[in-house]
Amino acid sequence: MSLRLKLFVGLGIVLGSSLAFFLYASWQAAEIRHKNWQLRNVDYPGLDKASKLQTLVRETRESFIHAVDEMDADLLEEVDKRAPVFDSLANEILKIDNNETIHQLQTQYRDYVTVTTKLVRDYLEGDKKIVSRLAEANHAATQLNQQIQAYSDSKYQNFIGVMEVLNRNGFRFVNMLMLMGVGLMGVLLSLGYALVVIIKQIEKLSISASTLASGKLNESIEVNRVDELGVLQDSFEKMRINLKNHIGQLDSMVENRTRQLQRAQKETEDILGSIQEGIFTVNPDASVNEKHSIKAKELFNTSVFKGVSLATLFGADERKMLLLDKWLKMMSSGKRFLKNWKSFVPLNPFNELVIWEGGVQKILKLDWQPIEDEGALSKIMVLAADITETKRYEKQLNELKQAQQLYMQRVLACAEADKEDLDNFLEQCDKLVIEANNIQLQSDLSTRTKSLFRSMHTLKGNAGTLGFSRVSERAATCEDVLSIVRESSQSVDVSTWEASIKALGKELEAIRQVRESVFGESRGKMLIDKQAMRRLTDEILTQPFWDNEIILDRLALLDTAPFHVFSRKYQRLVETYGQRSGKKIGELVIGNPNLQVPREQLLQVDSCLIHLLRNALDHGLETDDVRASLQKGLGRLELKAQINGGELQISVKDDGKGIDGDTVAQRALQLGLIDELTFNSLDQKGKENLVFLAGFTSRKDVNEFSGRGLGLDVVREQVKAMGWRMEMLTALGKGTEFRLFIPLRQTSGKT
Amino acid sequence: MSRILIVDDSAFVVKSLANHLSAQGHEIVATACDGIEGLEAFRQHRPDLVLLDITMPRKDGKECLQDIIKENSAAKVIIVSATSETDSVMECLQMGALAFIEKPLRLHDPSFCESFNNSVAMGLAGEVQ
Repeated sequence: MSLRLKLFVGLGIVLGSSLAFFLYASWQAAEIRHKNWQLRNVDYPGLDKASKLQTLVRETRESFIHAVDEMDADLLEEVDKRAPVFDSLANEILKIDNNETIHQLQTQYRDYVTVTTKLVRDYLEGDKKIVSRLAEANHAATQLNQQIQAYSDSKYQNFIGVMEVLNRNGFRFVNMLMLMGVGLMGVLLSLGYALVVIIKQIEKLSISASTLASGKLNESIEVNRVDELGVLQDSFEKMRINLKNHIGQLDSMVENRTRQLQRAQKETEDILGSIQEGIFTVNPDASVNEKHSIKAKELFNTSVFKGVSLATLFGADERKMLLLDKWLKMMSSGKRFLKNWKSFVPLNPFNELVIWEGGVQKILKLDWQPIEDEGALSKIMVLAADITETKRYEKQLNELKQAQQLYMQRVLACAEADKEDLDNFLEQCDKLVIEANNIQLQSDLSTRTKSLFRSMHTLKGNAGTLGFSRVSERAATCEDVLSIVRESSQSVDVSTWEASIKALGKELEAIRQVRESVFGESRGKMLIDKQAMRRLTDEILTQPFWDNEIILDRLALLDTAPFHVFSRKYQRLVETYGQRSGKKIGELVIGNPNLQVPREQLLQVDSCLIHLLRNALDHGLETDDVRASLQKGLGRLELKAQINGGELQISVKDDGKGIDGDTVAQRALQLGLIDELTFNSLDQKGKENLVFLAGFTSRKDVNEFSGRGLGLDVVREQVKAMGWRMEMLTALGKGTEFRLFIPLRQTSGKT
Repeated sequence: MSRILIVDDSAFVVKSLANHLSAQGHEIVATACDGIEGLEAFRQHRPDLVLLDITMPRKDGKECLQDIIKENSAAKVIIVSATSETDSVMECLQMGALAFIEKPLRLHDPSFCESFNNSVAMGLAGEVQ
């Protein structure tokens, strides 16, 4: 229903009701007038009876007059009949209006009747003189009637008064109602007019609004009012203009955005094309989305991604796909799975995927990454990478590692066995292998097989004891074959037997090689630091790029002992030699006595150390007298080992007089070891280094131990021959220090 | 810090787990070698966390988990299992187990240790669904 219709219906109802109101009021006014008129013409009950009383009085008086006129006493009986009628009428009036006047009237009437009756009787019996009294009685009757009339009149006047008051009020009320009805109608009519006008404007606006809404922004809105509606129209018009502008802007924005999106799409495609990983996304229901990196097609060997299922893509069996389904369901079933995504990834059955492509195996590594949307799993991104090569490489590495593990086992076992035990074991093995090779299993079931079986069993045990676990394994295989033959007398496939023996022989050969390469024929049991050995084994097994040669070098280094084990010998030497040379030595101080030093290098450097120590005693330290005069106390020597940057450094240090370059050079010139020219060209260091010249000696006397000028020369030669380095530090009056640098072979170990 | 119950039929696994967790400052309140013992130990000790194996004699991990959850629906349980048991592991996780630790326990591998410790922390933080 339109607003206008509603308004008209509403106004109509109100107008109609107010009209009805007015009409009702007019009708009520007419009614009052009519009733008034009726009331005026109707006898008041009391008045009616009063007039009857008057009639009775009149009739009574007439009866008396008749009786007198006719001289008939019987007519008085009528009077007697009327008396009770009067009384009853009077009583009725009293019921309505208990008025004293009525009581008096009753009494007066009774008196009148009584008195007059007596008078009339007396008159009729002859007493004529009472005629005047009869006139009095007649007059009394008239008076009675006048009293009744007076009563009636007063009552009527009273009634009329009351009526008038009522009428006046009634009319006033009805008039007021009519006025109100008329007023109300007026108000409603003007209100209706105003509303009709407003509605008309609103209708105009709503038409404008619907025009706007339909997008016709070019139709302007008529503004022709200055009131609130005019303001509204004005606003509408402004809104229309704004909207028009906005929409214009929006259009250009949409255009821009579209261009941007197209560019972004292009970029995305470029990126997807350039990504080197196969990327695509999967929904929690295991369906595959269309977007993917170009590489993904290649990796999964598919031409399309649209509508393809994971099962097809993976070419996997149903069981694994079922597991994947379960996994996806689980991962999307709760926040806790999303939150700790990484820890649940191992449960995914496709962390690695094998794809067959034309008979060639391809191994893909799949990385499953969650894509969240408002805290819930929306998609899973799958990143695939081809790890076929890596896997192959890994496999090779593992094989290498195993081989090295085996090698280390052999080395360890060889290292820990006594030379004799090892020799015996290997000899026993050789014999056994020869015997095994010669045996004819089919025909030779009895004694020889039994004895071979026993020997094999013994070998297995011995190998185990010595730590050659591979030999044990191989021997056990041979034993198994033999036991089948022995117990069931079955013939055994010769090739099985031969293969077992061959494997055993191969392992024994490997051990022999290790034994020779590591220890040589002459060497006995190595002094091996077990912990160091274990560390080396771990190192070798975790970094599999090792060459057997390098392992041997490292093993040689393992042949170590604490430095003090070796230095004891030099302490003894210094003690003995010091006594003979007549110099008092406080002590030979050992630096880093607990340093693990390689036996091999220390043995090589032994003669050098002896020379250097002697040299220090003979030439480094002053004689006791000189030392005493210099207040230097007992002589002090130090022998120190250090391992730095892959070199073993051994130094021999004295606190003696030091080397004076000039003196040395003079001496060398005297001894004819250098010519004048050289002498002049040498700097201080060069002069000091002349002490290494063959034949150089600063002493004139030669004793049993030194002084032949050979010591330092021999050291220099050996240093040169071995590819070592040597340094000499000297300070006049303070002492000299010789440092030998011996490289430790292949300490880094990596190639 | 936390009181932990280990249920696994392999003595070696139990020992490795116990050593590692003790070193982290946790207290191993009990160990059990099957589901029945595990449930008993759970009842007796009321641990903060249970590390539970799946494949065990007499009563397997799945059944044990069911009983434990019946006993206390807020129990914090971590499944320790090989990925070959994926199916059962996932069932356990949906049943209410909080985390999963993969066997073999490569406890000498730092990255494994990190994820191990994460899983334990996750279990102890335990938001049960």
